[in-house]
Amino acid sequence: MRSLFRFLFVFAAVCLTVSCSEEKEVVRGGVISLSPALTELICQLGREDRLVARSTACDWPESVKALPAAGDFAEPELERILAMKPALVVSNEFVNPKDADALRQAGITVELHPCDGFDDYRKWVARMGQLLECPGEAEAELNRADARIAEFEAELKNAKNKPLRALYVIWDSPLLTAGADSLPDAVGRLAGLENIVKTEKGYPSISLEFVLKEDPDVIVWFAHGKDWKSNPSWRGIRAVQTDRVLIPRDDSALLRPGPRMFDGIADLKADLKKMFPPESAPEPAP
Amino acid sequence: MKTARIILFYLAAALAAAVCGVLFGATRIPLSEFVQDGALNPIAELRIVRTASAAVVGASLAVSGLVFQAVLRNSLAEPFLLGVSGGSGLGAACAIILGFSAWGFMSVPLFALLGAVAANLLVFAAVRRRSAEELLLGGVMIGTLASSMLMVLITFSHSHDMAGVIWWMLGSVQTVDPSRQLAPASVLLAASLVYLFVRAGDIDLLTFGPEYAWNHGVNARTMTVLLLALASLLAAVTVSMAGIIGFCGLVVPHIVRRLHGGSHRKILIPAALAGAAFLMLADILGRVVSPVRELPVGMVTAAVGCPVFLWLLNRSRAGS
Repeated sequence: MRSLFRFLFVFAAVCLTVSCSEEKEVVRGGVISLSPALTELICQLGREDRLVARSTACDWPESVKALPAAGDFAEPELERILAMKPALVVSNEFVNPKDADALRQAGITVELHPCDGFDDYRKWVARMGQLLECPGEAEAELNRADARIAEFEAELKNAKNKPLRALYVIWDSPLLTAGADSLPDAVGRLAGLENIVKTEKGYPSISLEFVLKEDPDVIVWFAHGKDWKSNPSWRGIRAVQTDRVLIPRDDSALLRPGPRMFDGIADLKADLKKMFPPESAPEPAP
Repeated sequence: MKTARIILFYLAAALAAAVCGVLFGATRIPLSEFVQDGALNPIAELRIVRTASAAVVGASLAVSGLVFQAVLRNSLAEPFLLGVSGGSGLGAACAIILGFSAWGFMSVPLFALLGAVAANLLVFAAVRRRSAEELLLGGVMIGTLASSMLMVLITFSHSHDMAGVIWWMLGSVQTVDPSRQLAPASVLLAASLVYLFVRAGDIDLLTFGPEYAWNHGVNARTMTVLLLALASLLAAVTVSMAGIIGFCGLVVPHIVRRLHGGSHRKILIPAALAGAAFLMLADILGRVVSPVRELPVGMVTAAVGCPVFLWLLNRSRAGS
């Protein structure tokens, strides 16, 4: 009986702690962002002054580079963060999930949520607006995002051509691509692309034979600094033979679920239009 | 069974595996579509290159393992014992993580080859007496050191680089350059086979120990170093082509030796053909079981090789 009471007491305490941490409305004090997209979002919401540190991958806007680094992307340096005494640490994920427990034990609020699409982005905007006490700015950002998505969707609806079938190359060897529920899949869809990888989710490694079979119209090349021309395995792919490999102007705008992704989509659309002028585009939609 | 018959049997098996390797894959291509408008279907072309690569890599690993097992007189010996896997892994990781892979497609294989050869040379330089046992111990030490350095590099790498290193280490024959990798590896394999066939008698004598070989007119120490260096070079070249593929060099020569005896003139070519067939079948399995993602061939060889080897081990213990 005593052990039952003890269990119930511990269970109630855990529930209370969890519910308190989930219901946290406002955080006052310094913020550390370990995700480039969230750093961009905080700046977009006009709360750059709250940032006390960033990850080494956070490089936009230019002014955040002056902040000290508190770890790599999703990899916090615990001692450095504890020394900085921030009130809030935000990231899309942690490579080692136990790092979040260590920070929470030190009394730091940790917000960890993935961001793989526009719905996730909306949730992040709303949450940051709440935590950083800027609901007006968050609402304006939500409206801007919704308006741009609506604009892209209207253009898609009125498009005369069927979507171009695309392969997103995240890494060339092994061939890592963006799967069905990934951010490149979502932004590419708004730019008029249809991902050839439909069954696999996340960022799977796929076979070249699958690529040859699917025969994409275009390859969107995110493998920065890698060259497909020197790799003989790529020569059999039609999009490579016809030079339809597109390197995005700024791949971070398309790979980061941040406020710049809508500009990234517009740039991607413009580049695709140049690569596939209306007269050479695939046959019209039925 | 006569040697010619044994060779014919394994040749037939390897040819059958090669035909299957070209016919089966992630997608189904009707025979009529293998040639389109006078040109080979790109999927068929891809399959031919990877099947040929699997054959050369498998044969090289089996031959390398055969030599290691004979010279070290240890049925658990395998081609990567003299630091080849650790060295090549470190070389490839240097190319991927430190950014040298941006130099071009061949940079990773070249760094892997350099790493493997460097680790090998280090073993031969560090071990003064160069007896088989001491070379083996030196190889284990250098391999462990290289693996530790590899782990340090991985710790400081980004997730994409880490995925690249891990996938490379799992082994794959998907992206082999036919002219810059497959052709030189085939020449090395052919030359090694000729040399080993000629020296098969000496290898037989070495399996009875260096003193026995010495008493029969073989310079055991020189021969040991020469054979281990050649076997390691074969392994290093395969690693630079297809990553670290385990079990093929361990299980295949072991089985062939068990089935057909210890005469190396009799089992050299069958071991090479069996290794080729084994890796071709493992590659087919990897792409048929999981068509979109593909299983790394190193994983398939381990999954198939491990139970077979354990079964053999238990069978031999029961027999003895």
